[in-house]
Amino acid sequence: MTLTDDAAVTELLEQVADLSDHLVFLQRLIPQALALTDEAQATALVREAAALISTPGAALQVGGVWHGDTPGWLRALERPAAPVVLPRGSVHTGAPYTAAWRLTAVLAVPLEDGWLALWGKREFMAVERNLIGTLAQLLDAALRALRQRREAVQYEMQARDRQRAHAVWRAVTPAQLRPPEGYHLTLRSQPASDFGGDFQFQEGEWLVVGDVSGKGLPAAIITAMFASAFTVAARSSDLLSKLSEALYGHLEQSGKFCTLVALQLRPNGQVRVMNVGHPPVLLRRADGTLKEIRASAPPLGTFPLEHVTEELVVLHPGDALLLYSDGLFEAEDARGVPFGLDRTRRLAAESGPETFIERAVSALTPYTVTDDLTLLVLQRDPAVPSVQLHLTGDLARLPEIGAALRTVLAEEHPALMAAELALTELVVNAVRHGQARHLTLRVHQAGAEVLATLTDDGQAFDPRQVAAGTAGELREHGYGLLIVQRCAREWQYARVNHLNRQTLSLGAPAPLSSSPCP
Amino acid sequence: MPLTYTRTGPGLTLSGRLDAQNARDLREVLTEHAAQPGDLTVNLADVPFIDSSALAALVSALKDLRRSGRTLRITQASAPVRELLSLTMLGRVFGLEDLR
Amino acid sequence: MTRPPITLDISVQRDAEQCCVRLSGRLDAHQVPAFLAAAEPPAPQTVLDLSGVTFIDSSGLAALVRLVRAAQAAGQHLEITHVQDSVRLAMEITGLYGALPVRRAP
Repeated sequence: MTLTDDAAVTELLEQVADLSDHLVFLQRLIPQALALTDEAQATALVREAAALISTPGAALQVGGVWHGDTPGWLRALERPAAPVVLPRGSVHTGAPYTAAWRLTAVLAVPLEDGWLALWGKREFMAVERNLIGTLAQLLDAALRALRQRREAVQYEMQARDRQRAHAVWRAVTPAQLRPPEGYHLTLRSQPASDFGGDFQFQEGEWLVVGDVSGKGLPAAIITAMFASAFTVAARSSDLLSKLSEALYGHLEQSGKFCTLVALQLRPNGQVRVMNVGHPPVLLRRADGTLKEIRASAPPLGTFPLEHVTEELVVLHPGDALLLYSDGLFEAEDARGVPFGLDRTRRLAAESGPETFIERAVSALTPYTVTDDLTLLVLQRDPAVPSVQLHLTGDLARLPEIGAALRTVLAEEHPALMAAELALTELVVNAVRHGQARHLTLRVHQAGAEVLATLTDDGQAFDPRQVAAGTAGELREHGYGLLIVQRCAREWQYARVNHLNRQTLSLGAPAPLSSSPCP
Repeated sequence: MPLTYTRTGPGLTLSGRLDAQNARDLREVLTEHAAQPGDLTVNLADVPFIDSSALAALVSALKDLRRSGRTLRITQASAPVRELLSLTMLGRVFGLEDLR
Repeated sequence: MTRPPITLDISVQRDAEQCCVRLSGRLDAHQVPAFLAAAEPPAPQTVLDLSGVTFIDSSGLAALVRLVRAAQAAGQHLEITHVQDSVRLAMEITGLYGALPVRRAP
């Protein structure tokens, strides 16, 4: 055996020893890499590998961030596209990075999301390059798993956050409301995602339903602000101005707006309705006829709130208000045809207040609802005694008014006489002066008062505009309106669909100080 | 659905659905378009559907223009868009006659 | 509960000096023509006995006023008697209870 052979054998044995070391290292590396919890541990593994191949310098860059003591000259290098050995002398490692200029080769190996570098040796042998190449592959797998674990944790945290936020949102915008005294209430509140921009709030006699533009979390944030503003505003009779004052600026800044309907529901059936940019409220009478209460002002947050027309309605037993958000009529079928407002109206007319929501939901089956969906039915308690009377132009039937009143009022009810008197006057008026031939009277008792709605097909005429005569004057006409004025606590008139409609709250008149006998 | 529009001078003609998915693009197009002097006119004759997000974008643009003494007018609108503008009482502020 | 009467019964006792009209039932817009036909013209001494009147409306009140004014113009005497609660209420509402010659309950 020659000397050269000996040297070759020695080198071979050394290489085998090295390979054995490498093998041991890699065996240890695999479980460590799999359990990697941060980049510092990855850096430690790179350092260990560096020690194994007897080179002092090692650094790792992940996601653009260097780990370990990274010399300035290394930071100035670019991530290589493929494993490469930069031969000694080709990399400037002196000033300004360090005082001394040292000749070193640099082994640079790319990772999926960064690269690693080893230096401090004159050259890197093939086995060493292979070892580091294998290390890089392992690190890639380990770092990928680490990233996925982190994303999973973050996702879980976000999901938990969303869950908590959803609970807060649902507490602020309850899916259930308490029925106001004297009414039945049914609500279906179905947000498009975890959060909704539709809302409904209740405070005292006030009930507000609305819809913030857009949906999801951004809309839900505005909804929550609305909730607190509403609590304060509901203490004022000027609810809408207070809401506008509290929210206008915020809505404008966030480029959002909000449509809403505010209802003030008195137990006797009198309801104030204000519609601000919201889809028409449907007033469904017990006999199925519909009236729309459309918006009288643009949505809150679009333009300063100037004037909102307030609709005063009387809900007799069985009458109902039906409210819905645009999620209903904007739902589309497979061909992109929307559910539509006409269909909404038909549904409202055909189904009773008790079944409206149920039938709407089943009618929506072939449709895709992409927005928040809110359906609310407020029905005046149908169990309250009420009566409906149809009259013609025949004044011989006047006694039927008193008879009808006596079906819902006891003989000793304080408002009975006043109600019969006032309603007789209005019927005679409509027949004699308006030539009415079809009249409908609806009446129900409300505590010490009587709520009545009289509709007639006579000429348009608002009797409230007529100056009633002075009391106590001996005239041969003009007592009728005086009687109505004295008996009516409230008296509204509207001309709707070619019909005169008067709604009155009637009670015993306050005694008039009568002058002594002349 | 991506936003489809054509510009001719002060006029912006939009087509297709305007909804939450392209409301942000709509805002950008309106802002860009409002950079030229004068009033802005928007034609919605070929827009079959508009939702509250898109409506909010139009309202924001109108308010921005008003700050510099200008305005945004909707010159034409499809029946469903007219209906929505009428329901929300916003038709008149965009210079559209109420059809009711 | 007894159903209130739905018509008006009118009985008139009249001679050259006196006229007594007794009413029973409803004195409303529908019944006024019959009432006026029976009660006009007033006699020098006229009594309108409303003891049976359960309901009066503004037309009925106007008819009473018309008779009272006719009597005053002719220098005759007319008195309204036996006013029931519901009639009194209507008279009070319109301020006529004090203005009409109503004989107060003793």
